[in-house]
Amino acid sequence: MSERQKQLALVIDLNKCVGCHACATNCKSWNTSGQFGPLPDKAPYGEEPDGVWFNRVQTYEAGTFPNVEVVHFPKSCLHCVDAPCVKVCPTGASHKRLEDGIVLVNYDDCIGCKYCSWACPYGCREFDDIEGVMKKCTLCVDRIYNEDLPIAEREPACVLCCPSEARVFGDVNDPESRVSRAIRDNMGFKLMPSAGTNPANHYLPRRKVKIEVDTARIRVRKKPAADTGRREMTGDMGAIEDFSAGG
Amino acid sequence: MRPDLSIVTLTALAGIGEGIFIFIVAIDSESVFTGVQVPLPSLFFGAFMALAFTGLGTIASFFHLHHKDRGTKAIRQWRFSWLSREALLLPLFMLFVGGYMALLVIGAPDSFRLMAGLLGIFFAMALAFSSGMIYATITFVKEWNSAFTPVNFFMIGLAVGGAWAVFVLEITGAGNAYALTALRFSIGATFIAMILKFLAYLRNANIYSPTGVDSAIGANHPDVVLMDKGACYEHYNTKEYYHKPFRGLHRIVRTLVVATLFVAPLFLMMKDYDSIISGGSDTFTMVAAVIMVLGTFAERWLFFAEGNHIQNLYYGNFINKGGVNPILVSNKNSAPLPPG
Repeated sequence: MSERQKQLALVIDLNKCVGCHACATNCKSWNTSGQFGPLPDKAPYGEEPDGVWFNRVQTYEAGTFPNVEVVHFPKSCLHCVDAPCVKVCPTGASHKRLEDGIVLVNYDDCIGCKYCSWACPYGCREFDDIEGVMKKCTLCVDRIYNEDLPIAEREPACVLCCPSEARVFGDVNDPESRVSRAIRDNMGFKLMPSAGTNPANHYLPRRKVKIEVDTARIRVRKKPAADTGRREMTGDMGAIEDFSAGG
Repeated sequence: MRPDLSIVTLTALAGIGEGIFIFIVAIDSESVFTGVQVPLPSLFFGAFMALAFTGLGTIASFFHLHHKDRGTKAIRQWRFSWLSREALLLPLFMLFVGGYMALLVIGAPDSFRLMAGLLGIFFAMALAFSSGMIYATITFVKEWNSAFTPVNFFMIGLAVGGAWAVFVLEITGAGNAYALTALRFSIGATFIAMILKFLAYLRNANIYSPTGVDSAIGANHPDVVLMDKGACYEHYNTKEYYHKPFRGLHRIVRTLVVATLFVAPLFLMMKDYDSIISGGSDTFTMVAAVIMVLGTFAERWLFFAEGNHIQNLYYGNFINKGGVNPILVSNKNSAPLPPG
């Protein structure tokens, strides 16, 4: 595939991810009810809940005590440029779209042999044993081109819901796109480059962030009195007025 | 990896079917060229056994597919996918075995029958190679990603098929001369298969994996440990790619493989060889053939169970075998450290 072709992908900032699983749950919510759904969800409130998730968040501890830090690591299909899952599919159900580089599974052609999932080094494909087909992240292809949605919402569900804006979506082959700038400016990297899969999704590394603060612009506002639960005894009306005025 | 019984059965039985057919056609060719015709019922029964084994394997393979109704679509990508090539070659091989049997029944000229048989051998070898390459080309399971995989698939099929061919020749009364010839080659094939399997086990016991959790998630730290798998319970990624045996199970199965697939059958076949040479007849090879099927199942089960997929790194299931970094070894050999 030519490098100049469009390649939609996600850029995930490991420095911003707080491990809230909002991306995973929103992904599940959209994809179980969208055009590709439903996704299996066995015994969700039982002792052994099991189901298909396109996006999962693992948490790791890096370093040794006391110099440790927690790394939250969301992982979904990386839409590899040289996708090994596509090459091994016997039916051609797994395919990579020329127009935007998204790797998709044609559920009508999938025979459920699971060979594609064995060929993926990232474990990003999950088998739907109810429908008998392999499923994976579609990069919300039913959202990003959906003209029924407002333009601002034509992004993957995981990107829209991320409270810390750790996820960015766009064309990694366009050097001026937001994702390309994020990769360029923050030393974005690919997972397991030695695997030879050339993933389209990138991650931004954990890094020290220096925040420049203009001390002249710092305003100190009088804090309201702490709510002790015994307000009738304090009668601190001034503080309440301050609170109201300050918004 | 979690061993799937349907795939274990397919690869084990189809391999045996291929081996039987190769032996039967080889015996047939020898008999045509030496002018002492081996009884046609023996050849027919041998080819029938090859077809039966392969057919049972094919039936088992359908249990692996969740959409059997779309099975014919599996041959679409034969130019790219080894699985697709296997799906194409399996019925082709069975077609030629069936053709060979049909030519035996109608009494066609030897040249026609041998031509069908030799084409069948070609497809048998191509099928064994394709079956092996399905796993050998998965670079993310280092235990499988080796030339040993297709070679072992073929040689074990040939060894067990050889024992079954001798079994067939003995019970159909094909004569001691042919049984001896088949037995000689069967013992040779079993011995070579044993050496190759030993080498494969030796290789797999010392695999070095350069990829750790740190490089899997791109964290620039020497010590990265999993804290949370991100799910309340086991799921596809922790079940499909990981087989957790009880302590020592793999060692027990490996011993079973060596005993039932190689050592005991070699002993039994050599005893049988002695008996035939001295003019008697025994059932040792028949026993060997039966226990070799058990050994083949055990060997294939272990092959899948020992597969250690690299995605297990993300879930803390990766088994680091602690092999030695080959680059460090080569550096050490080429530039020894100064004394002291």
